[in-house]
Amino acid sequence: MDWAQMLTGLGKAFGDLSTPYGLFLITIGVAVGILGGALPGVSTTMTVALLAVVTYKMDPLWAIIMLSAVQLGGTYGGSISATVLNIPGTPASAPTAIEGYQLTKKGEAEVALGINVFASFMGNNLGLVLLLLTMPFFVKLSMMFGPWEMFWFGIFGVFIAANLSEGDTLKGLIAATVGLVLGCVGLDSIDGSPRFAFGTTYLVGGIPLIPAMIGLYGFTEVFSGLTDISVKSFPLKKTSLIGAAKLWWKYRWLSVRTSILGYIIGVAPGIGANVSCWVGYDHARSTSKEPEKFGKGSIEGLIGSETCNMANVPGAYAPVLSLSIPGDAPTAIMLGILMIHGVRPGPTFLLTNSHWLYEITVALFLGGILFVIIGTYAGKGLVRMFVSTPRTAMAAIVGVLCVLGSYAANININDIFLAFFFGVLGTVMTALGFPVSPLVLGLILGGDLLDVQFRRALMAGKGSIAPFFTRGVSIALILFIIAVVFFQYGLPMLRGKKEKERTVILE
Amino acid sequence: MSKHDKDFLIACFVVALAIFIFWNSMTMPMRGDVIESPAVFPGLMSVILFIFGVAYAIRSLTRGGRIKLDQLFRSVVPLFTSKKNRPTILGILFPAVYAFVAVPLIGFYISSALFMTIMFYAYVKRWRRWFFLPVSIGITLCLYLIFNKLFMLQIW
Repeated sequence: MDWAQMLTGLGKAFGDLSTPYGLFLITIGVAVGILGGALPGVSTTMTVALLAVVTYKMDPLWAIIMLSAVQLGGTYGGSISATVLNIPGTPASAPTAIEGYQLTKKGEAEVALGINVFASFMGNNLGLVLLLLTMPFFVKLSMMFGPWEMFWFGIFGVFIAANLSEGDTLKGLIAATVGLVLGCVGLDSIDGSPRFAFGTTYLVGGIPLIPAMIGLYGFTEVFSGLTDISVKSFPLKKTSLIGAAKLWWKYRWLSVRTSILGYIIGVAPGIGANVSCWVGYDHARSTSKEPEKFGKGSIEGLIGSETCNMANVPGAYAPVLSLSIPGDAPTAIMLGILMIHGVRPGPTFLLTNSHWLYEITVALFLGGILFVIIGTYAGKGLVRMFVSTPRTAMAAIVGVLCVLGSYAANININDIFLAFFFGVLGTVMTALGFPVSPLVLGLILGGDLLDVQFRRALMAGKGSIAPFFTRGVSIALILFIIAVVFFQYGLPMLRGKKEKERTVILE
Repeated sequence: MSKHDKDFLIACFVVALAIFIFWNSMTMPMRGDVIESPAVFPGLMSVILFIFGVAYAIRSLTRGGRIKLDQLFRSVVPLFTSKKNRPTILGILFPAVYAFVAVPLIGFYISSALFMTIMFYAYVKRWRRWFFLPVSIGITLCLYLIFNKLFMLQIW
């Protein structure tokens, strides 16, 4: 590694981006990104796509700098509506809705928002450090990723789904399995046949994720709070960013671990922040000394999911710049913009254009500072406005946002009906003691990750399942899954057994 | 109806759902080898769901769960009429009228303004004097400016 070249490149990038034009582009990108991410129905991908139009006449590097700032702002912005309204602004903020909204109910909305900002900021910065130091290594690793490895990653996701069961594992597994089946609805990617479409044109396109999540998280709150005048407004304890930073410091090593996880997931093409947020959340839960707090407003849960999904953003640029393969949906749009500008990243691109890596790194770093400033004040303003609003009025406003958000995702009125259906489903599931999170994760993993990758792997191996267990990266993933299962289930069982034996001996 | 009776009923529903998914998977077309069939994964999931459903049913049976048909019919109506469930039932009914009837008929923004106005007036006592109307119109206007003007989405 040429440290001198890296430091020179970073210094030049700072100089270029600290100009009024550079700061203006990054500020606009972050601000619009936060707004798009925070609004239900307007995802990060959509915001990047909408602003891509503005960049056609720009220099390609400036275009990517602005769009990367949008992606950063959007990934963070989803946590604001997740925390304040229990509507994940982006699918990657679903775990944040689980914990952040519980903290809002307890009057600790500002604590939750402060933690989100700090965790996201540190996740972004740690991801950038990993991008600069380890990009060549992880790019080689991502080239070794085939459908077999993607399948094992999906299996790992299923174990996470089981771990989200909040007590009754069997109910969680049932919810996860139903989610996996729902993920299969639509046109099969390999065969092209419609599955579970029941003759309707709408379902041929599959179940769109954003309306489903708006229904499961947003509408359930509307149904329970709209006419219940006995429910009081949430209290609010004011807190400063320094207070949130001190809280974050207590769990700094969790941030480091989940940043590494988020970065690795970002480098692996086709997985994205929608899965990495759950990986980070599950890791926080598995390693927590207070797992009983999860689902009731856990700071660790917030840090785990936000750090992991934010570290995903720098990671996604590694395969884009070196292999011309998008790491996730927003980077796929950016790759399209680069092609429009006549720029084709690839294996030799960075040899002659190393400044791209440094410019994007510095842009994301400056974008991180800006989302701390904008996000803190915007989030605080929003919280104080919502907390002073009566609960029934809030529920009506959230209802309008849910309808608008589910419609805006695809400009399809059937999405509103779908969101409503999922809202009723979520209400019934909660009443019957079934957790909703495994269903959401199953929906994310079902179609493209587990099913399609499994069949692609079988077709590539000519029907043989041997490559699932003999490929190097697959073996590493299997050992990783075994280790995770052992630490999550085996070790607590052994500890419980030893405790029992000790109690018997003492008696 | 006791908790275990409910669990047993839900378990029966899960088993029925698994059978339905399996049957539907078997009607999917099969071209080429079995492994290329779109039915493989949903079929496998239906079998796993069936196993989970049966395990759930056995668990609730061992804890005393039973299906008592007369209790079942007697417990359905109170579900919709009990005072405890009334806020949730109304909370589902009003948004349903808003989303399924008002939005397709008169458009999103007008129906949203009407919905918020009615909800604020009916359930927010301290806004009844004059606050409810400007707040609902103001919010609708903000949403219009953000979604239609800033994000250029065509929502009416």
